[in-house]
Amino acid sequence: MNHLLSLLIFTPLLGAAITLFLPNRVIKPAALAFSLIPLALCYPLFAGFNAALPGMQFTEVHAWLPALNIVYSLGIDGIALPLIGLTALLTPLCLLASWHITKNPQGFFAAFLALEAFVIGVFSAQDFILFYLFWEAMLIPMFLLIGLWGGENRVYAALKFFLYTFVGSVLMLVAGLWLFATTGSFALEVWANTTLPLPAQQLLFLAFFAAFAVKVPMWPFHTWLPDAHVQAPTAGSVILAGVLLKMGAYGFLRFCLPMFPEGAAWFAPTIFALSAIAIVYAALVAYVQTDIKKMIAYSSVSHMGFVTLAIFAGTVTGLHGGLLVMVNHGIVSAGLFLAVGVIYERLHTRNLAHFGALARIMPAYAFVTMLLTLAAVALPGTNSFVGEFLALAGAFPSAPIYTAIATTGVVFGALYMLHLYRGMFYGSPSETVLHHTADLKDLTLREWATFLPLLVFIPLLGVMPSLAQNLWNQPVESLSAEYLPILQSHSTPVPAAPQTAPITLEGQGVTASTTEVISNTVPVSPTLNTAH
Amino acid sequence: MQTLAPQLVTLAVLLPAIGALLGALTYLIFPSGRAELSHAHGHDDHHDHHHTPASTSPSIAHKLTMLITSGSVLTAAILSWVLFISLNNGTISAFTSDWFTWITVANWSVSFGTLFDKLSATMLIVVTTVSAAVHVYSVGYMHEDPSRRRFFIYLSAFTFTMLMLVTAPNLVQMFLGWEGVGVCSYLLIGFWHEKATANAAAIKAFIVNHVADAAMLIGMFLLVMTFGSLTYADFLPRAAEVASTNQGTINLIALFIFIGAMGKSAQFGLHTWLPDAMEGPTPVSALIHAATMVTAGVFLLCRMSPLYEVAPEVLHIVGWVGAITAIFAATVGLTQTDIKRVIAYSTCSQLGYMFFAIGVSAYPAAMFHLTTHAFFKALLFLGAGSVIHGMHHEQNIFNYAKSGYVLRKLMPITYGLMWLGSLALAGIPPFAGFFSKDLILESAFAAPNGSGMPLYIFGTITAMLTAIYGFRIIFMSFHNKEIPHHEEPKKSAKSTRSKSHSITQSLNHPITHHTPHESPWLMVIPMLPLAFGAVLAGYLLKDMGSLEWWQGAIVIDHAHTALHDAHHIPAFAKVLPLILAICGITAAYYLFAERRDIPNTIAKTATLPYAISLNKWYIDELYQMMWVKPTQALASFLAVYFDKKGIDGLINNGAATIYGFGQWLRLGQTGYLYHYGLAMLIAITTGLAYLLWKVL
Repeated sequence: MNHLLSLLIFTPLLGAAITLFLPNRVIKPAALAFSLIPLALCYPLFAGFNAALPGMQFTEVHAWLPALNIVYSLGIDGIALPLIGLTALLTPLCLLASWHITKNPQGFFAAFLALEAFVIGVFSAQDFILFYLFWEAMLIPMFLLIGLWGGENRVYAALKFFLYTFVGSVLMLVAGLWLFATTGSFALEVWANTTLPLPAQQLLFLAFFAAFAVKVPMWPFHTWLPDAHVQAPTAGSVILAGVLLKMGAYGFLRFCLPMFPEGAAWFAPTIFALSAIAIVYAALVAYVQTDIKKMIAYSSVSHMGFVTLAIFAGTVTGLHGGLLVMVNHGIVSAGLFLAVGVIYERLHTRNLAHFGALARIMPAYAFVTMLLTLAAVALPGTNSFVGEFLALAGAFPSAPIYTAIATTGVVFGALYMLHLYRGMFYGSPSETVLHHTADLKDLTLREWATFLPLLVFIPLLGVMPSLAQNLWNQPVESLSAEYLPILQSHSTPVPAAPQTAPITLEGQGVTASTTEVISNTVPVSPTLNTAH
Repeated sequence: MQTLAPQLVTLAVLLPAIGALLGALTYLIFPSGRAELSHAHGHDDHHDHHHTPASTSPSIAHKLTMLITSGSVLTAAILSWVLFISLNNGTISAFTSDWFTWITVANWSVSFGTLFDKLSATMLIVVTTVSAAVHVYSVGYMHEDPSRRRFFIYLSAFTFTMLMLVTAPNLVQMFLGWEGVGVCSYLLIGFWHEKATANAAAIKAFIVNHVADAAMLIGMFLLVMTFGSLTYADFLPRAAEVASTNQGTINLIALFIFIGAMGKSAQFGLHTWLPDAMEGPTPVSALIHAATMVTAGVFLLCRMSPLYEVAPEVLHIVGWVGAITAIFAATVGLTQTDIKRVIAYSTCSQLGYMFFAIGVSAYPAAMFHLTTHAFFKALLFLGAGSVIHGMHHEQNIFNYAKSGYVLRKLMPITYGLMWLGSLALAGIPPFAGFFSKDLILESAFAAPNGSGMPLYIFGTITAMLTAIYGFRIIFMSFHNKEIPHHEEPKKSAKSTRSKSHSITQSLNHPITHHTPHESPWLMVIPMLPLAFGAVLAGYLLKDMGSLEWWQGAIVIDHAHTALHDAHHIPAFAKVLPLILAICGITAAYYLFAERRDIPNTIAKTATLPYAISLNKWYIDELYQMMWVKPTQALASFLAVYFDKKGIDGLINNGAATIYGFGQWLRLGQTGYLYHYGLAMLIAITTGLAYLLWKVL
């Protein structure tokens, strides 16, 4: 049996434990080295992954609590794989960006490595209890990172972050226990193959939705995010925006769509509306922020709106787009938060009014941030474009009006990003900049090292999105095949839309396999049932 | 040749990109130094390149970059001409080539590649020729600028994206070019990023264009949904078939794509960014905001002619928008004082002509005018740049008049070239504009059932206005009485214009006392090929006006006979625009060279029309009220009241209530564990109760 996933989870965890007891001067290099192990392990993971196979790969199953049929079960598909890759890539960059941490560095770097372990655990767990364990465990290091190494108002932000997400997850736990009572298993695969009556699906959907919607975060459950971002240290923001938010969307894809498709379809119109609101609302709110970190935090809410809109639209195009936005946002927003960190380290302010004219004295920094800004406004040729384009094009047949509203988000998105860029880099220098001109050195080598791995992906995934898409082609098609027909039977006919439209387009490969999937659903069995 | 052609087209498209990349790579060897920051007070109103702080980049870096970028664009221009001529004489035929697949999903995909036919070949020569001229011109124009290396990289990057736009075989790659030119335009308008006005203009251009692009995206989503493809060769031939069952969708698609085109081509309603874009360096205005990028909308509609031909209602709208733009911009151009803004409004107006040509299905006429216009308008802008350069960055034509310098004697070459450009603009035979503009007006006149008659009337009036404002520039700038130069030139009266515009600032600037001079050869020589085009392009390329020349790149429905019948209209209709144009020039001479008191009197007596024209029909003010202010107010409201006090307030109050409740409970209990347990229990039960209530 392959132990790659276990290694990916436990090497950083071990690293975290060791880091706690290391002397101060070796902590940083040691932690960085530990974080490079999962990154290196990604090579066999990606190389050994066969995108053509259905189902989970790199599976590991060990009995854990047989009395409750709880199993240590790991496995990934093409949806989880890139998110694990993203986590493994961002963690070393985060550690590099935290080189200035002087307050209790053991704790900081240990917490970070533990966070990495738990996040990878979330993406690879195939047993609900294991999933839930990682999901909740992940809160602890993040809570500490914000609460101990954060800004002035860190305790408020940390508590808010914790309580918000915790309340959501509790409902998920209740729903999970109910499912166990019904199916007798915690295996996600069993749940996915169980067809439940509509009322049950609706309730379960809502319970899981609560957990994931808070995490995404969807409007109006988003207000924890700006506070958490603003108070979190740079690295915390990077990992929060880059990976943690994706866990919500991942949850939708792993739980809500395959397990409760009827429920999801029933609530889809509401989610379309919430997503469209999120995209426009958050972009507008971002525009009037004075704190640059808050601006980018709200921009995350806006971008994740594209993800939820596209996922629940359920078309193959939309799911591809949603997943691409997840990956791309992980790269671009991580880069933007790193960029904020660069200037915060030098000026100790995040107020937009305190910058200006930085392009004249920090040209390399201006260049890097410009690349990230262009990616953030989804310029074609950058990675974000393909994602947003497919997300919207894919959502359009399912929800034309909401998609049209969401498309206007493109305008507001450009508005706040250019406003942000102008305020920081163009125009006349503020007094703060003038007084600290000497401190405003351009990017150091270490900072370049944090940016370069991210910048590479901007043009790469911009012109070759198939590098990522090929990974998840298979799960995307089977998800869409199961969910889309249900959604279409639910929804009223598309207004002002052509008759030729969605079914033929998205459904060609779909209609054939749909019946197959439905006939394959296993009857609810109360017997013990491990997935393998 | 035919087998080599795809590689050559690819090379022509990629050369400017290679130039830009190599130019950017010079930063690795010669990083740009740190500029000195100074207190900005009183420095906001700099003009052109004086103000940029000195940088430490060695001049070798600049020279290397200028050489690489200009060289690669020049090579691309030569290649384009070879390809164009070969296609024209039949040595090679039209083709599509695939580079590699870009996006694949489900059962549709999009590839990178090139589509080379008469349309793209025409755009190739237009773009590369003007770009090459502008590159060389900029070597002279920007020679003092410490950031000129960056300028050339942007110029070449722009050229590359523009070529991507015109050679794309599908709408997505076209959109890549479309957005790419938008970004380059943004970067170049805001090139002097120390200037607040330049930044504001750059952002305005980007945002207004994005409003249009959002519409265009929706059009593309509709296309994917309806046709399952965004490749021209897939969906254009099927447009008629789909329209027969689903006219509504076709109309929507055509309309949304047209709104996108309106943004880029600065049509009435979405034009407000173009005059402000004049904040950029003048070579940029010539290349991007006159000859190439702004014509992208016209090109796109011609490219999609099979679709527009089956959406006649939308064509009707296109025609009207074009006509209104043409006359609106001409009326505004009459009173503007900034030489560049006058030409900008002129561009807007001429683009209006192209759209109303499309409105009567005379796509070839539109493309013909696009081509001739590119030459004479770029020439006019470069000429204006030469004047601005000679007059030490003064852009106000009234200040030229008051300067006491007789520019036609001091800058004779520029003067002559401006004449050529203006004659072409006014449509005087045998200059280029005459052939193309007349064809447009004749087509409008000949449109079936007189549907183009209002357009013809609008266009003919515009022709006269064009001649007036065009020659107003010439006579105001060059035909002045000499005043001995030791005398302090009078400052002009305070303008009524809104203070945010740079023009007000320039009015307050005393003119420097250096005698104006003819521009250096590096600026004059690149104007010559453009002047050649302004004079002869109309005659040499007059075949462009016929449908056959386009060899299927443009499709016109048989019922739309406007272009076909354009040659069979009454003689008076043919010569009327010409007569009016000549009258316009004469009037301009009289009003702006001989009796300059008359325009003043007119302005004082006809105050309302004058104010409307001078203030650009108050559209900026209207948009400020309609869009900008409400959006800002809404955003602030949402941020402060909804997000902070609303949602967060609710959450915090909820938390406080639970906390208070817990405190109260704690009176009877002491265990923390119990406290948390209870809080959890409450959360679960309320949550579930809510769920039940929601579902049942």
